[in-house]
Amino acid sequence: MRGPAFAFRAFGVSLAFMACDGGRPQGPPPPPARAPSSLPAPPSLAPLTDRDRTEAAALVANDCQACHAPEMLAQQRLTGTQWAAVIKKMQGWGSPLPPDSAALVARYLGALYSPSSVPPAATPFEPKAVAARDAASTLAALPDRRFRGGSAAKGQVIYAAGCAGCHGADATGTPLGVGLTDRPLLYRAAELAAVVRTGRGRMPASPHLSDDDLASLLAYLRRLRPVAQW
Amino acid sequence: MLDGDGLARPTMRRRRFLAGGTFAASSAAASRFARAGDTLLQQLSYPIDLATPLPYFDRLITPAAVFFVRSHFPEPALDPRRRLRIEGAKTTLELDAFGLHRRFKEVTVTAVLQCAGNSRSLHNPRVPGLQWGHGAMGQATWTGVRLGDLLESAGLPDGAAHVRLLGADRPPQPTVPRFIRSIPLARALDPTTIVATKMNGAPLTLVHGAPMRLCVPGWTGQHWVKWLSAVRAQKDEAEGFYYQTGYRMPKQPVAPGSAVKPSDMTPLQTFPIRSVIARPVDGAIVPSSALEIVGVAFSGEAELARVEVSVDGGTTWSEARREGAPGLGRWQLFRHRPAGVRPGPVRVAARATDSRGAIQPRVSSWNPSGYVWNGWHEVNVTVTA
Repeated sequence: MRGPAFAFRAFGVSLAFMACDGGRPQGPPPPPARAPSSLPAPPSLAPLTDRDRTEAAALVANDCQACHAPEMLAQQRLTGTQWAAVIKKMQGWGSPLPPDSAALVARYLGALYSPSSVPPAATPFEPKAVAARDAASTLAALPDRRFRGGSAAKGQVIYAAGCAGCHGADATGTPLGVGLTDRPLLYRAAELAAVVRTGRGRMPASPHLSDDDLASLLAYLRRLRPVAQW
Repeated sequence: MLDGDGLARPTMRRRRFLAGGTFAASSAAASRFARAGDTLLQQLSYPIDLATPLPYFDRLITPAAVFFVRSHFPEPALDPRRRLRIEGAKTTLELDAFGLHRRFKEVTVTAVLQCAGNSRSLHNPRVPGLQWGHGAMGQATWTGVRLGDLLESAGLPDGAAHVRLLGADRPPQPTVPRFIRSIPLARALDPTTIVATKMNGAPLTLVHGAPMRLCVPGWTGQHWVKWLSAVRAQKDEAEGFYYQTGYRMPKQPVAPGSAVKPSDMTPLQTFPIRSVIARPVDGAIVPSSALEIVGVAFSGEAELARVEVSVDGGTTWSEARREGAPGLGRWQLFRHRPAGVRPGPVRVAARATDSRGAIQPRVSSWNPSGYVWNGWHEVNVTVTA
């Protein structure tokens, strides 16, 4: 029993690392943070085949992690029943997870992040320590540099053709793409350009867009300032 | 910045807020205050959720650079000119932070901000949600203007009983409910309820709600709406998931793991008596002569009356010395140097009591969302000769 449990946990870690960078493979998975325990695999693991796990991992990466950081899942210690309730709630809120995949994902998460996981239920989750200087650096505005001086009118055309399908006509998001209005990423031009050009998760790459195209896209998106509506 | 008399009530500042330069310094992070070696614990990478490490709970004021962060939804962009709309019976005001300070009296309160789910990971059985340790809390001085002054200036409608609150953060897609809260009108008009623009004397950082956030001393964090963008006095409490379903507690204690009917739940408002040990940390090796137990204690329901420390796992207790001004919803520091502790493993515990006699239980009562854990904080240390 020990071998499969270990391999499965290592796979879970690699899933988490892939998702941090938009779901792209990152080479060999790092070693697990803790030595594998001698505990047998949880009973709910048994019915999951390798194929089930691969399918469920892809569903989680595409359908959960657009909104939820992988740590959100990894810190839970819930039974399969609790996971099923969480997924039902998220489906009510517009999760794109196909309805007939919900049971599989609940079983998968219930096996990965259950009360009998390592660390066990009695141990508080131990988050990663980060330098306070860097803790919110991903929100800080950066100079526009190459992405200055775009045309909002041109950006509107680019947005309508390439982005609106998933991010919504008004860029407030749909089940297939998160909202883009009034976000710190709009003031981090180089980072936004990299995401657009290389893709992220299920979002396809758009390597053909020039610096000027991206400057125009930014100029348009920055104009979409929603008013506070109840 | 600490109030002289220590009550969590506002202190008037006659001088006008210096519009201009102060907000230009607003930043996304509190990084410009961070010192080398300062750390936070990353609970989530997006949205950014951060816990304060326990050793920082050895002081009255938690520095902004290491003050915990909790956001439900993706953060809005930093916009120092973001406006707050105050909808009233007489008029609707739309003011940015500069405008607030030009028109209304500046007020400062010292208060604990604690997430409703702080210490959730200790509830058994476990429940869904961020699995915080004890780091989703901090104490700061909050400077701004009274919410009551704003509401009265816009005109209170007849029959108003609640104040609805909206932040600028938006869910990732419109099918997800917005984070809309309300507080009872009496609480909104309480002089300690403020719309803050500064934390510890400096402009709020983005992750802490810049440019304006609500402060509701003694009440749990979900009431302290960040990026505040609209308020309205109205007859009814807020609708929607985050008020009608989320942030509710059983009206009566329930057995761990119970399902509780919605009709048996009520909104969570205040946080109960608790204490947290900053040091020694769990697993520390401490010479007997240097053993000092330091931490913070507070309640959102009554003033702190007593903090006791045990070095025998809760069999016997000694009262700790307290520092700092007492007050509802603000913390005091406690210190205790136990005498005659013999070398070997020692289980240290702290428990606090409030002025109404409420005392921290060893294990907090369970509830379906894992809110307001307040069990004893216990740490294992090894004492050396």
